[in-house]
Amino acid sequence: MADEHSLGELLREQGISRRGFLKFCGAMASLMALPSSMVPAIAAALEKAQRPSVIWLSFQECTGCTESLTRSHSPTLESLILNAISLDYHHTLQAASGEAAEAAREAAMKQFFGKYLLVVDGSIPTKDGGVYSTIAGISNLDMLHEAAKGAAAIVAVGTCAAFGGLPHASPNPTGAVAVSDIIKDKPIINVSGCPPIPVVITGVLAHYLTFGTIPELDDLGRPKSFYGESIHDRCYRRPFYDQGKFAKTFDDEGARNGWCLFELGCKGPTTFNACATTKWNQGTSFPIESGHGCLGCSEPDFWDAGSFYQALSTPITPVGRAAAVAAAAGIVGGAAIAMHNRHTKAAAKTAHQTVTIDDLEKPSGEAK
Amino acid sequence: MSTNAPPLLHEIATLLDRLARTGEGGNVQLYGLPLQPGDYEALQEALGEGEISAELQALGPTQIRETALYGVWWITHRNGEQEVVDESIEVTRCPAILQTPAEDVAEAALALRKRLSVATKGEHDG
Amino acid sequence: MSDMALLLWARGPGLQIALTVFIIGMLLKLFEIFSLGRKKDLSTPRPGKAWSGWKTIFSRSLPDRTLLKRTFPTYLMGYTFHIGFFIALLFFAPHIELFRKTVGLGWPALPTTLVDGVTLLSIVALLLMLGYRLYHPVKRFLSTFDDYASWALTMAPLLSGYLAVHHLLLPYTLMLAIHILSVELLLVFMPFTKLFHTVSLFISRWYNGDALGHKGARL
Repeated sequence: MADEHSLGELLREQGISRRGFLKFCGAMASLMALPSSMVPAIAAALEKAQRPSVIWLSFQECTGCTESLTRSHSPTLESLILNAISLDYHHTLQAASGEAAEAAREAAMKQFFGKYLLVVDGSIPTKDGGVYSTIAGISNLDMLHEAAKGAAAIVAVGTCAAFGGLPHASPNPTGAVAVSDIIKDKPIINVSGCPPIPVVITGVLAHYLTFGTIPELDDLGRPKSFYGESIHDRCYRRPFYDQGKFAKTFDDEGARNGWCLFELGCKGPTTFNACATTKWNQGTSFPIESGHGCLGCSEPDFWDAGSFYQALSTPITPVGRAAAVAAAAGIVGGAAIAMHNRHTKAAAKTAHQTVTIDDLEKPSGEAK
Repeated sequence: MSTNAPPLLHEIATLLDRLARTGEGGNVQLYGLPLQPGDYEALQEALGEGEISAELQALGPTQIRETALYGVWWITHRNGEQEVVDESIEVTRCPAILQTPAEDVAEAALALRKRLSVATKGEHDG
Repeated sequence: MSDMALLLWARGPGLQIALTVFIIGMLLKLFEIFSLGRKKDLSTPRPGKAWSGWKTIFSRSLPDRTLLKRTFPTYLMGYTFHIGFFIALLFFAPHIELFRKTVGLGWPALPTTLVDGVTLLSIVALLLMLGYRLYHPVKRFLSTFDDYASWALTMAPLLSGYLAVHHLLLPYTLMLAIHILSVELLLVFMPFTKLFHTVSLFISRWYNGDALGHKGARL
């Protein structure tokens, strides 16, 4: 439960030195993609910051987002940030279960009304009154409405919560929608990705913790500091794209040389995320570095956006049939026009009257 | 193939110039830069190994090394799992993280005095 | 409609519609032209001119010395635009990938920076041509709606493609969608505007060359 201690005091209680705190602040600046000149300001703000109460609701999801966040083991910065917030409800992570867990959620919602941060992962099924996903007998839809009322801001973690994600994919049997489709009167931060990069989740929490505000967002509600640039623009294979060097299959020479994966369907150019710079598994690599094109998982409807293995500049539906039908129609139509033209010509020929010298002389003869 | 190392070296040269002229340096954040394979090594090779190497133990180890270029420090922050959490090249006469925070100095003085007074008391008692 | 939805429409149904209209339109036009026919020339053809039609198809691509002197700007901008347009169309890697997927033929791409420069030159040439058309009294007098529409239809893919590559003005996804849609628009209107010259120029050159050759003109 959130308490009156400031974050600075809390960290020192845990035996973290001032140098350690400075290191933490420097890493936070990196995390939020802020210049290191901001470190003193971050340190000053964090020193005084109060632990915010966080309620985490998991709806129609696969727990991949929570897995992503908890993959890093303590004592990491991620875990420090998690310690720095008061996670009052998260039904996968909390010790309590059943009625006690729900009681904790209700108590936090009441005590910190208007102040808590609501984190949502998973989409919300709306079909048939939202019966397709419930927690403690309450539909996700109802729980979101109720929890959103007292939230200072909502963080939609993962593509499901941000844009509907996989449950929303065609034919969307449960009528799944994103948080922003339901809640219209609260600031919503979309932290998309399937799953999102852990430091991006914590980066957003860090921003809220440090400045008490939500970061600058793009037109899809994602923090610009992480989603400001496309994978393609920050990709280390970009020079190969510019030189026109492409892998044609996953095991040809180009692939072995680490050439651009555009022709193998990489969605890097239309995908905005921090994978190419922040990378995964503590900075080890990211999909393209492992030899597979980007799937575009941080973009809306990525699951229905054509084949993962087809180049972005190619048609998503085969055009051969349309072309054949059009050609047939064109030939039939063209033949009709040709017939018509021949007919017109023949008619003109028939109607043609030969003019003799006599005909030409007639008028003058009459005048005589 | 290396394409991103040379511009970084130019930036470091500019920062060194400024440090020499005004006393104010700056830093280059390596963490999160789209370095190509080989860039990192090229950068290390270009900067070389200097005289000073220090290690800080706070939230995991932090290596602070001066490179062969005086005033250019390579700082690698790791967490308890030895994973790199932040890495930068700092152009300064002494990195801030090496300097003792003023509050810690004051607290150290207090702690020592307390220890001394306890020791003196012990002597008198004995 | 989100940017991605628009892009997907452009890459799917949009392309199908555009291609259908394009193919039907082109075939109708070709049938129309060929079925009109020409009167048979009953005079005896001059000797040694059997290939003049085919020769003219190529020779007319080279500048005529007299005309070159008289209308140098038109020639310069015309060549710049046409060569640039075809380099951008045929040698930009994503375009080649499109041809590979649709017609099964592929060839090596040119470096993006080169294609980029050439595209910019084409855009500049097109702009100058429009300026010249508006400035020159005779050209302006002869210009119809078709001329301006064809100019806009040609300019749109070049400009949107350039802006998309450089992430200017609009988010890349939206600009890419606009770029593909502009090409589709170009396809739809190609048979029905003077842009049909992409095909008809070969027919008319052959016809003119053959007719002149028949009469023994020096080509």
